[in-house]
Amino acid sequence: MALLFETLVQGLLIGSGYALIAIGMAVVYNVSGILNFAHGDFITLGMYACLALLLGFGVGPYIGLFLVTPAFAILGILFYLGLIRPLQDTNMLMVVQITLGLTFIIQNLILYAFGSIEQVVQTPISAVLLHLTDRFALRLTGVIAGGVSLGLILGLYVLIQRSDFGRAIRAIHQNPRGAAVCGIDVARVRAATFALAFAVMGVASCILAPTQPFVPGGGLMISVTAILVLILGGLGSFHGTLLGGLVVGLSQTVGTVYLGGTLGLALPYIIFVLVLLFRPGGLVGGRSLA
Amino acid sequence: MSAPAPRFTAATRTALVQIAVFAVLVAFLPFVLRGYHLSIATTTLLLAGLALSWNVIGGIGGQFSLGHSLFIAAGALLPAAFGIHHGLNPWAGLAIAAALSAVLGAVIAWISFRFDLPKLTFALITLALAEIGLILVLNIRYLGAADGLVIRRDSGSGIAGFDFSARGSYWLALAGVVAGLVIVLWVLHSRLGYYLRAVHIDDRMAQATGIDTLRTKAAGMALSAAMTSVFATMYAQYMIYVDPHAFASPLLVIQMVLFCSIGGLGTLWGPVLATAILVPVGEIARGMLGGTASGMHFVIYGVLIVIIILFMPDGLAGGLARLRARLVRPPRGTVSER
Repeated sequence: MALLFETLVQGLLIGSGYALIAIGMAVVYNVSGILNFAHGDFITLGMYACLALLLGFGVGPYIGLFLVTPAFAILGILFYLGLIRPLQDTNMLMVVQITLGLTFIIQNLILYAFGSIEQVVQTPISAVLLHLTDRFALRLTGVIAGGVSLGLILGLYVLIQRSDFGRAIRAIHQNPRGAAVCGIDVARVRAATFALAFAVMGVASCILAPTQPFVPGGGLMISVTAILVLILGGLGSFHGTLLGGLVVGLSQTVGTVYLGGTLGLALPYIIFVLVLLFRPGGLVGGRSLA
Repeated sequence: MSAPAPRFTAATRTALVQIAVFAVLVAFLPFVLRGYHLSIATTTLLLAGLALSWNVIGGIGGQFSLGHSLFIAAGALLPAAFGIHHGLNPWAGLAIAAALSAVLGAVIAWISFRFDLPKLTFALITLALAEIGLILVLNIRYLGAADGLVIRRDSGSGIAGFDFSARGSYWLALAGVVAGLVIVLWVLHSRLGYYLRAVHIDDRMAQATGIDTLRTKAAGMALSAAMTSVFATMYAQYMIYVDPHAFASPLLVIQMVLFCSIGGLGTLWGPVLATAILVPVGEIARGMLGGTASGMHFVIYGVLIVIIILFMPDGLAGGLARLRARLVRPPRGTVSER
């Protein structure tokens, strides 16, 4: 019973991190219709930015967050203006390919600057453990990451559901032309949304950097996980993404603890395939995916 | 029912001549290139073959399979494992792996049909299957697990034992690419090709016009899978060492998709053209920067991809066609407009 509790808590913490990573991707998708394969590489870039701040200036990730996040927002606007907007009216597929090209660039620039060794961002609280029971403890950094993730997701949800900015985003998602007719400056909202999404990615990379070791080439795996979470939940659905993240996180820990070995590692993917076979639109949302 | 599909048109004849010219010209490269540069050329040909294979179902048929790493893994690992454990001849291994890949491809196509998967879902389910495949490979001792396999070969066994010299490997790869081009040309002008393109444009519409979409997808997928497997076998036998992280992960597939999209989806020459530009540039840059700046050649490679897409959003084949149309004003066309 205790083991089950521990497994579930770990799964939820990991899963909320996945959900946060996927949310950034979801926001970009919603406003531009693009699955950004370089997403994970941007997250990795953020983690290395934290490392650089720590090594170069002694600034820890929880303070570095306030530098990385605005920098990422600007990066998001540049990304939109430089690569996405010029290709807005062309084949969507080519935009996906351009993000793949970007993957090569970011990964290898990081490799060039930092080398291929696995890195961790150490913080003063890295060794702090929270004891839930006598035998079971959680790392404080992990709890912070999980908590901030859930809080941020909730904040984004309120922003997108309740504010005019959020309404504009949703309007563009539904029908860009219609939104423009209603007086929404589509290009500006899109640029702002990219800034928002990248800011979220910046926060995600800073709070996740102390929780796990990272390598320059790890971005693709992060992107793949984020895409799986996104699709599993149902593209365009906020609850779905959160749910998808939690399902992937839980299936990972449950698979590793209870099944072990090959089957345990493959469990998240098996669940993904089964869910999509019977609900091609994801857990939340219909069969509308085209 | 059996209305003959248009077979030998002027367009096919031109394409066949192009392929023949390509084959003859490229066959002379080993007399000019040596050692390292020859190995780059061989790798380029093998990757072009893989891109051609994916093009059949992904480019022509519009079925965006990211699960082709399963077929690559089968083609690379099975003949190697059979050879190590049972002493099986690589050619037999090649054939078995290709047949298994074809069956697996048809099964995946059937699943996609049976559950009526939308395109994006299909892409991601095949990606998940690929990840499951990688996890399996990394945990099966027979297939070398995470260590990979080192191909054992009787030296001096010649063609029958898949023991090729550097030049021999190159010509084998070239023969594969030429065969692949002919197959793609055949597909483009066959009933299967027309059906695949119909499915690409609109699945339901194709079904409504009486096309058996399941058979079309299954045939296209099986052909693409078998071709992929054959090129993977050649690649693995050429490399000697089969690294599961290269041959069973989606990395190679991503490159195949990239080459096809950048070259021009569903075109005959696009995938070969894109591979022939991107791979040598990346490799030569690696050679020049290798010691001082590891990884920088991939940056150049990435920048090249981004630039090509920004300037030719419909791929090299489309971009070049437009360029030619602009440079060569067709005199006859203007006359006929009167």
